[in-house]
Amino acid sequence: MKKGLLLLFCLVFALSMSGCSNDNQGASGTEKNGEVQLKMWAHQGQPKEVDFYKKRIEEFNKEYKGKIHVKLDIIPSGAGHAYEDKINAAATSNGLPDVLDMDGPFVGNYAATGILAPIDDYVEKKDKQDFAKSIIQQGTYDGKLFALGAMESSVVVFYNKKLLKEAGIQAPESLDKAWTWDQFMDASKKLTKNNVHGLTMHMDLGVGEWLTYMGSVFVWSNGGLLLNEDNTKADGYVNGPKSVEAMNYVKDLFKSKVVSVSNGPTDFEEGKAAMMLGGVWLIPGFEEYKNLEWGMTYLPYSKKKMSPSGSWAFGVSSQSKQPKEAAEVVKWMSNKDSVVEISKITGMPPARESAFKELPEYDKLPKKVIKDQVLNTAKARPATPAYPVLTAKFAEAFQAAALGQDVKKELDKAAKDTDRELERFKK
Amino acid sequence: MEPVTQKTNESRPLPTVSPKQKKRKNLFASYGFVSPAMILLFVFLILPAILALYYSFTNYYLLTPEKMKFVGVENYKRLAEDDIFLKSLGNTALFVIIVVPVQTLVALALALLVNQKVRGIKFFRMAFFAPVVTSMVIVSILWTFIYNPDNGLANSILNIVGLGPFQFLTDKDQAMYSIIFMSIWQGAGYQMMIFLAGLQEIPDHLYEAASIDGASAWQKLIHITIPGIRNILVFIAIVTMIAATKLFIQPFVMTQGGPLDSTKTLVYMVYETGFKFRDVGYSSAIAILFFVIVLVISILQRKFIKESTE
Repeated sequence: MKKGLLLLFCLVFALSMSGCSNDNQGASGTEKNGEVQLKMWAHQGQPKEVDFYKKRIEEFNKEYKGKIHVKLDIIPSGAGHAYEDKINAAATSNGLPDVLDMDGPFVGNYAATGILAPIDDYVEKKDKQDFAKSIIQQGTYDGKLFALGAMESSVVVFYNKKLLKEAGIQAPESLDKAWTWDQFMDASKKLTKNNVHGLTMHMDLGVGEWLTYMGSVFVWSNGGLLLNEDNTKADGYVNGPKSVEAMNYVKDLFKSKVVSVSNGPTDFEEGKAAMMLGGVWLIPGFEEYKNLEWGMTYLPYSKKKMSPSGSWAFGVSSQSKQPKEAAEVVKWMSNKDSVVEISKITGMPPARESAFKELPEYDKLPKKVIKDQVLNTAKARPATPAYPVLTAKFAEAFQAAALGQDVKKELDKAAKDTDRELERFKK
Repeated sequence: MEPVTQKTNESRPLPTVSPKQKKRKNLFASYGFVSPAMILLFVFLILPAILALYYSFTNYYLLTPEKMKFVGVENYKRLAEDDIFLKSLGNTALFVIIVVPVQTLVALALALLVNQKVRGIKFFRMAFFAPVVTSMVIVSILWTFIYNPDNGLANSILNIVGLGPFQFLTDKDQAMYSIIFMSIWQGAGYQMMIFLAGLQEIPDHLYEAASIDGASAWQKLIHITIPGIRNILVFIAIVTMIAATKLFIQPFVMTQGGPLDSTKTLVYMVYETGFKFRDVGYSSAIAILFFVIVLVISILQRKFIKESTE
């Protein structure tokens, strides 16, 4: 009797353990009453953004009633890598949803490893042309389209109007008058006083994606590249003479003490820094600082005018059994209505040119700066499967420059590690 | 009547169970009792360890398990040439070498302090223990603010004494020491509690006898207290060492291994390589080597302690 009980207990225990993997969390694409059931993941961004995702999917379900039904799960993204770790884990255990969103520069890695399915067949050419070039760039890998986003992003130079006036500096008000690197350096120096730095570059965000996102612009603007044109080689590019020169400019900014490596997260808002290289997503937060009179101007340039780009984008997982219906969801989430609405909610620039017409605030300063950059100077980070290594190593090199280290040595390391990683994906 | 019946009951041989069968039955029951723990250990500890050993000889990329290929000792060869690995090893060693003795001594000192029979001493015990029950992630975030070179608490306090300002986490030569200091502050309360339990086990009459013999406070410490908590001291040294080699959360939250890899530890490198870079093969090789290192240190420590206790 006791023996039997024990055996039963062991059996139940063993079964429950093996049962973990058979949970019905995985993909998906099942049919119920003729209605295709899809699963979708979205990362937990700002609360308003999450509300938008939920609302848009509800509307989708109403519109496609009887045909497609989407169940949306919001996945916490934690300090940055939690959402990605979840995708990685799901990919290896056959647990991916039909539709998922991902940060732009990771599309290449997910496409190369077969996590994403191409969506060219479902997207009309004309529709594709409406997207900002940089959004198509970030969603394309190996000539095929894998992801479409609703939001664009950009980095601009925010400035404190009062402090600039005191120093007698006029910030450029049109793209063709944008500051050169030297002018920018001069302005920063003039604005640096006892307790006020001329500039903050948000080094408080740590050695992460921000440094690559914001930092690669220096390389591009100086005529350099992170990888060669077809994204197959790093040596001679990320550590090429133009890139080294660009990083040395960054090093000089820090060396001349116009910008601090240990800035606080809201130095600009509190008036402790006169200018800031910051993402446009910071704008809604400025409202809390009543005393702050802020303006925006274009990123400074060396040889070419460049600006960073990229944001979260939607794609179809390769594990979906209903890719056509899943692509409908991707298109819905990035159609003009979605793009306009999310832009209004988050303050991020829209991913479509046509959407700018619905958003008149982008026609005049200060937001005109963002529009000009998105449509004229934006460049996506390289869509490469080696991106996780490239971005980490480049960010480390950027930090090394900020700390006054030998730039060439650090960039050489980045090139070596990225090239080894690229080897892995060569057929 | 009663005792008689009891006696007959006892003397009656159990008819169906032979000693051999009984032994087997006991064996089955004991296996039954340990099986839940064994299954858990096997699934979550032994199996992953075996898999890690296997993966370390492959080029397993996290997202493409189907393309996994056997590559021999390739990963280990790469380890031998990897500067960052050597640096991580050095950083981990530095942390262990400083933290184990210092934290043990600080904990002992705290325990001696809070072992006084003074009113309100419970408050101090609680205060010293509070960091231990706070999540390491939260403590790390708080200390990131404290260590801020421009407007952090640490520089403000040091400024009063006329020191600083220090760069702390943003300086490659100070970052590791900043983490070490904060880790000791966070962890010492735990060892203090264990020491305290040990101190209270030492009988008072030994101290009384020593006082009568005219022993000084220092002599009492060396000849009564330390020998009295000897076993606890050994236990704490081993536990602290094992915990210290696993340093991860502090660099993960506070510095991301930087600046310039100065706070990158072995476990951080395993995480970074395996999850961020998705290179499970190489990451496993680091983990295996890490395991071997900890194993060797543990064996040496055991041997050393055995010899000294004999």
